[in-house]
Parts: sequence; C-alpha cells; structure tokens
Amino acid sequence: MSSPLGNFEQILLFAVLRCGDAASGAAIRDEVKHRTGRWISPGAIYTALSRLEERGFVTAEIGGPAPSRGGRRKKFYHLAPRGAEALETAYDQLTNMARGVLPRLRRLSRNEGSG
Amino acid sequence: MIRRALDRLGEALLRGPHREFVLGDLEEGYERVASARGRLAATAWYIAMAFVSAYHLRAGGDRREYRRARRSSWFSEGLLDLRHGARFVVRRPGTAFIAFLVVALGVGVATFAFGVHYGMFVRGLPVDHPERMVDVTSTMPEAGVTSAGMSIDDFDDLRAAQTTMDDLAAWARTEVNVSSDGAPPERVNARLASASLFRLLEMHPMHGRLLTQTDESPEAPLAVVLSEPLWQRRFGGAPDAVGQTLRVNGEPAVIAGVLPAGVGFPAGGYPLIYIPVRSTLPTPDRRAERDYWVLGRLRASASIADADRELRTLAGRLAQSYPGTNAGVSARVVSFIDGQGPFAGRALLNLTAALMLVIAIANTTNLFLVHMLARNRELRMRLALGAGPWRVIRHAVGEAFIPIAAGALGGTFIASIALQWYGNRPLAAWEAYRIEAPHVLFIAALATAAILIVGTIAGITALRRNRSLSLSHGSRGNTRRDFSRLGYALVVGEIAFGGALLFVAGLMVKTAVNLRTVDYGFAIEDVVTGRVIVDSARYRTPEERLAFWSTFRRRVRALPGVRSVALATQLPMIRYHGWTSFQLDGEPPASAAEFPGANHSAVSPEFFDTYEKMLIRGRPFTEADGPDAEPVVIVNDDFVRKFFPDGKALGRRIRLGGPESEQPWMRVIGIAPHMWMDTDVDRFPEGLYVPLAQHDPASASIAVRVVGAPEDYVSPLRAVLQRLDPELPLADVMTMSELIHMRTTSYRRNGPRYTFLGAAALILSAVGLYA
Repeated sequence: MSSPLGNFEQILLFAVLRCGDAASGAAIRDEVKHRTGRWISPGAIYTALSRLEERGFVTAEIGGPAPSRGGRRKKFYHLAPRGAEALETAYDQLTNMARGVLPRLRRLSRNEGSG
Repeated sequence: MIRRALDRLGEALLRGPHREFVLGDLEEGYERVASARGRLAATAWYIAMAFVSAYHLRAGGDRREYRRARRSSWFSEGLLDLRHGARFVVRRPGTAFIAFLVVALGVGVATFAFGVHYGMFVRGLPVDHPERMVDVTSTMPEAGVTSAGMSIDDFDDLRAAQTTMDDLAAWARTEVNVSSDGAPPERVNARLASASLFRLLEMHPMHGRLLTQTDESPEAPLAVVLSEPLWQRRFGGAPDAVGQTLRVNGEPAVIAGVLPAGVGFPAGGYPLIYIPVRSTLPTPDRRAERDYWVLGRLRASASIADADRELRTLAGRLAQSYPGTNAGVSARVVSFIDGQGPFAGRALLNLTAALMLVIAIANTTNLFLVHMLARNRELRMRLALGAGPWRVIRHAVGEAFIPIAAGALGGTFIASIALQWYGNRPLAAWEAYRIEAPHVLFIAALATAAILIVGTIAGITALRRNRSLSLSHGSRGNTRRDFSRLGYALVVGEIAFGGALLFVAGLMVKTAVNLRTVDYGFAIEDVVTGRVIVDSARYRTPEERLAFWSTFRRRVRALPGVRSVALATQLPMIRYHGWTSFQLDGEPPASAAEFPGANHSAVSPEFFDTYEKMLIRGRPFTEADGPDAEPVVIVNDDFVRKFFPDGKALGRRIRLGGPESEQPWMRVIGIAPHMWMDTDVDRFPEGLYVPLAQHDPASASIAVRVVGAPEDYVSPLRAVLQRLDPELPLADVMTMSELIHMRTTSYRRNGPRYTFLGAAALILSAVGLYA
C-alpha cells in the first residue's frame, strides 16, 4: 500500500502525536520548528490540518477561551486511527527503504557537500 | 495602541473558518516574541505572519470556495451577457456588421495615427536609452535663427570642453564622385562623419569595421564605410569589397567596412558612403562654415537643461575668442527627436485621428441605441422580472462586446497595412512603423473604452426612456420618435466633424492639383538636366576648372539636335547651396546679423535662352563676361521689389558675402523674371545671377534644350563627359518635367492621404445618418 501522505502532512501528524493532549495549532507549529527548523505560518497549519481532518486522519476539539489569546479559543488536534495507520505505513515504507543504506547515504551526501 | 491596530489588521486580513484560531495564535505569538526580542520585532513578526497566514488560508480550501462562489455570480453572468451578445450578432447581422465596420475604420485610423506618432516622435533612435540622445545646434538669437549647423572647429572645441555628455558626434551631408577601375564613375551621397557617430548610434558593421579615431588623422590613409545598398550596387554584395580601393573625389580610399541593410544615419536604405572628418588645421574663416549637424548622448547624471546651459556658456566663450565668425552665435541642446522638427501635419494627423475615433464611437453608440430602443418591450419585461439597472447596462455592454472587439481586430489589421505602406521608403534612423506592444495596449484601451462607452450610453438611455413609459403604453413605440436628444446631438456633431475633415482633404487635393498645373514661369518641356562636380584633387586651379566647364559646354552644344546649353550652380526648382548673404553699395547694415540674403546662381551665357525667358530689362551674360572683365550681376524682379523699392536697379552695385567680404563689387546689368529659384515652396523668391566664368564653381548643373524627346539625349550627354574625363560622373540626370515631378512628391503624396481620410469620414457620417 502506498502512502497517502505527503511529506509535510507526515511531519504534521508526528507533531500532533508528540504534543499529545496539548496539540493546539501553536504547539504543533513550535514542535515542527523546534525539531525540523521548518518555519510554517499559522494559516498553513490550519489549512493543512483541516484537509487531514476532512480525510479522517485527525479529529479536532475546540477548547475554552484563553486571556493570553485575547479571549479567543484554541483548537486541539488528535491523531485518529486512520491517521495513525497511514502514518505508520508511511514510516515503515521509509525505514524499510532506508535500512542498510544509511551509511552509504551519509557518505554520498557528505562527498556531495564537500565536493 | 499598536496591539489594537495589529488586531484590526489581522481581523481584516484573515477570513474563513480558521480565523479565530489563527488570530489567537498570532496574539500568543506576539507576546512571546515581544518578551524575547522586543515590541518592534514582535510587530514585524505579527504583520508578516498575518499576511502569510491570510495567503495560506485563501490558497487552501477556503480560497477555492470563495472563488467558486464569486465565479458562479460574476463569471456566469458575464458569460450570459456574452451569449446575449453572440445572439445579437446572429439575429442582427447587418447592424453587427456595420458596427464592426465603423469600429474597424475608427480604430484603424486612430492606431495608424498613433503608430505614425509613436514611430516618429516617441520611439527615438534604436539605442540604449534613446531619451538621452540630444540634438546640438548653433543658434543666432539676434538674427532669429533658432537652429543652424555647427562648424567643425566649434564642434571640436565644444566637445573637448563640455562635461554633461558622454560624447558628441558631428556629421555633414555632401556628395562625392566615386570611381574605380572597371566600373563607370558615379555621384554618390556621402556623410562626413566623426568616428564617434558610429559609437554613439551603436552601429555595428556587417563586414569589416567602422570608422575609428585613427581614421580622423590627416596622415592616415583615407578609409570609408559603405551603406549596404551602395555595396550591393557597386560590388554586387561581394564580401571581399572590404579592403579594396576606390577613388573618392580622385583620392584613393580603402573600404573599411559595410553597414548592415537598412542601417544608416540619418537614414538607412539608400546608397551612401561615410567619410571620416579629418582634423586639419583650422583656417580663420572656417568657423563660419556651419555645415555640420551635431548629436550627443547625455551622461546619466545630466539633464537636457544642464547640457543646454553648459553649451550656451561654452559657445559664449567661443564668441568672445572668435568675434569675427562667432559673434552673436550661441548653442542649443534639445532632445534628439525635438531637434528633428518641426513636423508639419503632426497636430492635424492627431486631430483627424481623434475625430475619427469620436465619430466611430458616436456611430456605434447610435446603432446600439436604436437597437435597444427597438426592444422596449423586452427591456420592460426584464425590468419587471427584477433585473436592476446595473444588469441592463451590463447586458448592453455584453451586446456591444463582440462587434467592437472584432472591429478592434479589424482596425489593427487596417493599421498594420497602413503603417507598412507608410514606412515603405528609406526611413530615418529613429523611425519605425509597425505594430508593437504599445500599439496593442493602445488598441486594447480603445476597444475597452469603446465597449464601455457604447454599452453604458445605450443602456442608460434605454432605461431613461423606459422609466417615462408605462407597460400598457404602446407595445412597440416609434423608435424614431423615441430616439433621444443625445442621439440627435451625436449625429449632428459627427456630420460637422465629417464636413471639417472633408474640407481639409479638399484643400490638400486642391494643392496637389494646383502644383501639377501651376505655371512655373519657364519652359519645362524639351529640357534635360544633369549635374557635374569637378574634384579639387585633379582640377587644382580656377583656370583648369573654368577650362573644363567651357569645353564641356562647347561639346554638348555641338551635339546634333541641341538648341541651347546652360550651366548653372542652381537650376530653377533645385536648391543646392544657392543662398548667399550680400551687401548693397551705400547701405551698410548695422550688424552682421542684418546682412540680407538671397538665392544665388552662377550661370553661363544662354541660361535664360535655354528656359526661353527674356530679361525684363538690361542684357544677359555673354562670353565676354569672363574672369578678367568687369564683375556683373543680374537680379530678379522679386529682388528688385524687396531691395530696390525705387525700382532703379540697373547700374547699382552688389557685393557677395558678409561684413568681412573681400569679394569685388558687381554692377547690376539686368533684371530677370521670376524663375523659382527657391524650389517648390517659393517662400524666398529673391535671387541674383552671376556669370559662371567669374565665380569658379566646383559643381554645376547642366540644362540642355533639345529638339525631340529629351530622354534620347541622356546617353550622348554621358558620352561627351566620358570622353572629356572618364573619372567624372553625370549625376541626377532627368528631364525638367521629371525634376518638377520629384520636387512636388510630398504634396502629391499628402493629397491622396487626406482624400482617404476624408472618404473614411464621409462613410462614417453616412452610417451615422443611416442609423
């Protein structure tokens, strides 16, 4: 089975998983930035997550209003079983493909980098 | 304060279901960035984030929704309007076709006028930054001369001293005899050019090289550059022409290079030879010879006004250093294109185009107006069904769209053909006539404006009519009676416009016809003319030159069928260098600027006989008026009227030249009738004639009156010259009628042009009446 997930979506789903119960838009953004260095706008996060929600990969839950947000509410995301399955498939495919060739990959990319 | 402004910004930018969460994130983020890096950084962060988020929210699912919603209203309604338009074309093909025709004509003429205007005045020279090219001329403010040539010495001094321009280039028109072994000699148009001219104009050779600084040295061997047509004509396009040697005015000259086809200055496309200006030591009065035209390129940092100011100052210094030749002479810098004017007909052309466009739009409006009014019932139905006025206007615009858009395309086609026809001649280097991007923009703007104007006016008028009628009142109505006051105003206006245009066209045609039938004041039948220029390299002394002219004249006279022969530096209707200043004995002018001027021609005996003219008074020149005899002069009656108002001319004395003239005084021995000394314009008819033998000209035209067809005498004439001197060409050979035909070309050309415009206006007016 091929992965139904794009690279950005995989990263988002991992971030949702990592943040657990606190997976709000802002937390997901921080997590992605912290781990990958990737810079994402809040707008991009929510549009991508709402697409994943439409496909049944995540579920969303709206929290209470917070004063630090000017009285605005937060939206929390949870990994749905379908999303977990898709993410696992994607991860397995990648690790299976990567197994045994990582040292060579590193060597090649370093040579590329220095040459 | 700032926070609230940012909040507003975010609220204004962000849309869609995720708005609240994004705004919350932004607010939280702002506080975090502010505590870490300060308010300023946080503000920047917020603004950037808000914009990027807004983009992402729209680019994502929400944006698509938004667009789909909009498309369903605007787009489908627009399509509907267009479909109405198409149905209109199918149902009323006649009306649609006339609208198409009218718009095509209007847009065609307007675009043609725009194209001529653009190609002539806007486009500029084909160089980088054409707007920096400037035209530099001498001026003589006291004498009212605003633009004159420059002497080569003034040019050298100004060029060396100025700081506002990258460089200056000088060029002059001249003609040379070109000969080489194995080909007949010919007279060729030439440009004396500073080497900088080629650099300034960014010209590149097709073969060989162009002129350089070293070619300007008097010690360097003479190097010349050929235009492509001359190269084709003389060498049949052989690349090995480069390096070959020609004789230019008897002096050996190496062909350095060939310019590409169509490239040349001031115009490409005809046979031309470029000769370097060679720096020789200035002679005292050479500064008075203002034969050169100068152009320059401004430095990026300088304006035209800067350059103008600087050159005025520098010219002022020259005037102090050389009062004899430069007193009262200043300089002027204008943009290159402005320097090529004034262009007669520019305003007329634009006005005509604007009028044509107004007429076209007015007519189209009328057509649609009538059409809309004829459908009163349908309109009322639509209004009753809830269509707003906005909707009705859009409907009218939609109907106008197809005929007008098609008309604009047709107009583009007409304009491209007309421009091609207009540019079908050797063009100046700064001219180009073809449809380019600006033209397309121009046409698109015209068409859009026309569609909106026509549709809106037709729609609004129909609505207004409608409001005053009730549903029950008359089912069809009389469209003629319904025709609005606006409609009548349009028709009356356009008939007036059309009439004005026809009037102009009529004047032009009348001028053209007049020129063809005018009495030129002298016989033009049976006369063949040509021109010979002796070179100073081989004819060194005045005696040698006079001997040549005399022998040439005698031998032509001896040809069978020749009734009389005249040599003249200036024939009637041709002006070469026929203007001179002079002084009347006993009436010294107050200043150099006030010296009078007149046309001037050195002529041989039999000149007046050849044109079958009798002197009004006095005697013609004879063989006795030679170099050693008393200097004499014949003036024409226009001259007498202007300079001898008392009518007593015979016996008075005249001296050629300005204040420092060392020419001898000449006695007036005859008064000649008017003979078009000033070409076809005849604006300055005053002229004087002097004996050829007393004036040693380097060039002269020959006029031969013959029995039978003048064309038959061309080859015998050439043969005489060939036997006398195989190096000298006979130039400009033509009959007097051909010459006059050539001189009046511009009028004959403009006549049909305006007739065409007038006819187009008439058609448009007729359509207006029909509608």
